[in-house]
Amino acid sequence: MSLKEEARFLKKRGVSEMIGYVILITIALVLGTIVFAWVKSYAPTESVACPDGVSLSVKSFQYDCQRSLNITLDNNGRFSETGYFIHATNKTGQELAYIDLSPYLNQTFGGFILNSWVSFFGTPDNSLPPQGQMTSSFYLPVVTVGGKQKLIYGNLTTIEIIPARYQTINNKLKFVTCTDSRIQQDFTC
Amino acid sequence: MEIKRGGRGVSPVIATVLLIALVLVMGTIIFLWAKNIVVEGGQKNGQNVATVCEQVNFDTTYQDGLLTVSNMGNIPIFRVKVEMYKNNGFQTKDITELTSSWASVGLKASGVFSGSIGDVSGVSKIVIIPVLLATSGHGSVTHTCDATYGKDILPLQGTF
Repeated sequence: MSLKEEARFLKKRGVSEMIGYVILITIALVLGTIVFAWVKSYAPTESVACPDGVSLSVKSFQYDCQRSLNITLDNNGRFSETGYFIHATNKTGQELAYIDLSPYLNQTFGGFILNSWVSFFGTPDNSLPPQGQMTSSFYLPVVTVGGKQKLIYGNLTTIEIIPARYQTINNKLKFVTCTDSRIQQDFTC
Repeated sequence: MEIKRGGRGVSPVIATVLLIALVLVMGTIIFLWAKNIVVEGGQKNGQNVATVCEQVNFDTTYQDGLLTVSNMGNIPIFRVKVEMYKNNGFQTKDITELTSSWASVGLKASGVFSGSIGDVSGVSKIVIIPVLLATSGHGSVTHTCDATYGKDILPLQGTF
């Protein structure tokens, strides 16, 4: 190489190799973190669901086709439960039970009304163990029409009960409803 | 050739440290900016809200002039879109445009809505599509699930 070429070569400027490596590695790390955070949001996590084996059954009931409804529920499943949702229909053939009966629970006889469901003991835990039983009493609403009392919902034809429990999901205690374990009880008035 | 000496400059060690610090700061700024874009679609239960639509489980009927929507799953349904098919076309409305009795918090797990949605004469089909509430970098956002997660209500005799 001639002196002139050597001088031209020595004049060429560039980033130090070490700095170049550092910058490249840093860019790779930052991009990797961004992509990880984005893809993580699409990864399936443990879904909020009830375990198989949760079950409630109606051990007995009394319905006078007027205002009084008493039901005794039996935990015949493998898991403790915290309470239940109760809805009713008032027409034969009605597909979905939409009348929420929880506001009419008579708490004096057992159970607590919490946010449109019935808690067995009013505590945020699964307090009804397997083979435990609980009796709930409901006093249905009436309206006075022309001096006579009339049932707001008429005669109930079916009640639907969905058990609920607290479940640990992703290390957090969550309230879950066990729709797959719902039960129905028909009435004939 | 004589190499010029005596020029002033930053020590190579300090220059390297400064460059690394500069790259780290710029990288952090870019990451925080990109993170906002990533969650712009909204997240629910730590997942992208679009994937949560698969877990939504609800039942719906139209009987005796009443639309009933029952949340059978554990994902709260904030609203629903009501698609009414009529005369070879359809119209989509939010449930709150059709009734005032839809709860402002939506349907929680095992929640039920039942109410009138107005005149449905001539309607051949109703499709109910869930709308979820998600969190994003800008606060709460609603996300309408894809139509494939909707449920059809076909007319019962004399219902529509």
